[in-house]
Amino acid sequence: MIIEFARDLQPLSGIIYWFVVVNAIVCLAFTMVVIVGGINDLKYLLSALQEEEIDDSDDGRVIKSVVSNEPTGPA
Amino acid sequence: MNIALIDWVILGGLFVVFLAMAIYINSICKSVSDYLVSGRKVRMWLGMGAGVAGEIGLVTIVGTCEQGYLRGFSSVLIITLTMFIMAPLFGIFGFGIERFRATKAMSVSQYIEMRYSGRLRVITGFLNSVSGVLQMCIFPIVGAHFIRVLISAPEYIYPGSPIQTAWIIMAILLVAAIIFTFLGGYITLIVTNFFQSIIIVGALYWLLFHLIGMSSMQEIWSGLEQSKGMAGIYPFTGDDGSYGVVFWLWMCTMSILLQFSYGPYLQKYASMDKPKTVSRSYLLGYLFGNGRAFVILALGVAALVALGTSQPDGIDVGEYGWSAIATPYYLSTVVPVGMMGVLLAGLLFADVSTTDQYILSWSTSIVNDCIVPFKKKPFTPKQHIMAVRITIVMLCLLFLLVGVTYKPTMPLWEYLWLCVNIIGGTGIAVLFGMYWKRATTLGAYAAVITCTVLPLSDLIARRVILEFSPKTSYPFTPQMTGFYSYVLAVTLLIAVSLMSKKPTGYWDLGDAVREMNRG
Repeated sequence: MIIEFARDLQPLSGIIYWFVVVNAIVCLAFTMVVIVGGINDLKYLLSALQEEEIDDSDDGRVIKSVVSNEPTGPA
Repeated sequence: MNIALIDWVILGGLFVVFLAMAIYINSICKSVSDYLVSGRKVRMWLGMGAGVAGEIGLVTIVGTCEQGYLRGFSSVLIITLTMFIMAPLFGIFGFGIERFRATKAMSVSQYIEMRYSGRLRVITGFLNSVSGVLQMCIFPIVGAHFIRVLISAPEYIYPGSPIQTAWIIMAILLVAAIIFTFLGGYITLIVTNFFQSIIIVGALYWLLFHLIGMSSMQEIWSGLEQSKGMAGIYPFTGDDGSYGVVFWLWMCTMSILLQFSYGPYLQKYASMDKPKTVSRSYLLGYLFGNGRAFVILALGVAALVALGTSQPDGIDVGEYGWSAIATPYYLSTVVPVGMMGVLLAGLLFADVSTTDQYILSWSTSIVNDCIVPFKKKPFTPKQHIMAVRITIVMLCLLFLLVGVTYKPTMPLWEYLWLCVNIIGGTGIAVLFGMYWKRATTLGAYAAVITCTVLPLSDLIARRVILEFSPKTSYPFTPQMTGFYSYVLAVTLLIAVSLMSKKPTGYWDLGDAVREMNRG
């Protein structure tokens, strides 16, 4: 991975090169972490969706609150 | 075609696995909120993983490869400078995005109705949908051309036939997108996108390692230095074709405004379990996700080094057509059997995951913001979901029609950015609506209209000049139009709001954020 850079483009060429390489490696390692964490979150999502109570009013409409004049979204 | 039986088997096998997954998840989708925002139960890691697939679409890959081919790694500095603003603003302070989640709105236009008025909701919903659909119209055909060149398929099915192979590939991509969006909506997208992101990232990295193994890092980097010089690594050289400071300013402003106005982003934020999850996943995704963009840029750079800047003999696709297909043209000559199947699967899922997410978002906006407000009797949940599904099919038919007539007249990214400018007005209205008590409905109208009229006039003027005076160069770049539109829209919103004092539905979202984060 260690390479030589054109003299007239130094030091920026070296900085950009190493920035790209380090970011690519970090991103790959981080993807592994996301996979492990994501599988746990997926288990939670599937069980939560099976247990949830259905709220048919939660469909994107805006309903004026009875208690105050404040416009509200879903409960 | 340079695609072997084993490649088809890999591609087909993975598709069947994801289809089975989607069918299972469809069985647990019970309500409209499940279908549109995953029941608002998505946690950080899953949201981030699925977000990766949503962000790396086939069109993103094509556009980023094109930028790598045209401008080398000069966008690295642009991306990094933008990160220094975006990561703290949204990732640490949760500016606006936490507040949006706290509104419990499903779409940006729903919040517009809560804060301003129902009429403005319909207008912004319509404008955002038009802008999003205009932008999306070219996704399938651009992706199809990329894949056709990658697998070295002939331009026409039979020599002399009027049907292009890219149209057939485009139809397959759209049918795949419809299947996954139909089955379970956003829940299916979150789950399948999560697993698809693993395939996409795996395929891209594998490909990069293969290219480096074939030549060497030294060869690729020195080739870039010789071919582009300083312009290949520094975006502010001032040369013709370099990004420049105005571009960066516009990109920062646009990136900020899109967080409050771009349907697919906000649907993702709306699906998360609490406001803190939105900002945390943003921060981690932003800090550690840039590497993926750099890997895709590197593919374009590798093509630049191998092919040079001019079109090879025998290819006549025009200036903008060539830069978009240079990378797949190069890859078609170096990707071996087996890897082609994995790469195709990665590209197919990149397309499906993004098209699904975007098309669901715009269909939701069309139904919720442009149809439901005019209905005296609300939809039943089943009718509501069916209305969204029918809209999805209609949009896909539109994309097919546009794809058949599409001819590129500018670099891909520039077209995508130009369309996005229209949405900026909504972003300004939402941002001021959440933070400034005195922002009024009239002020919001002024911002939305400004950001609609100026970019659309720009788009039309470009077409007219191209049609009647093709040799005349257009005086404004898309970024100049966008940036000046934003500045004018903000000024007008503030001025008009100060002049019109009619009370609006402002409420303190800061308290709502704290309460939801505690709960």
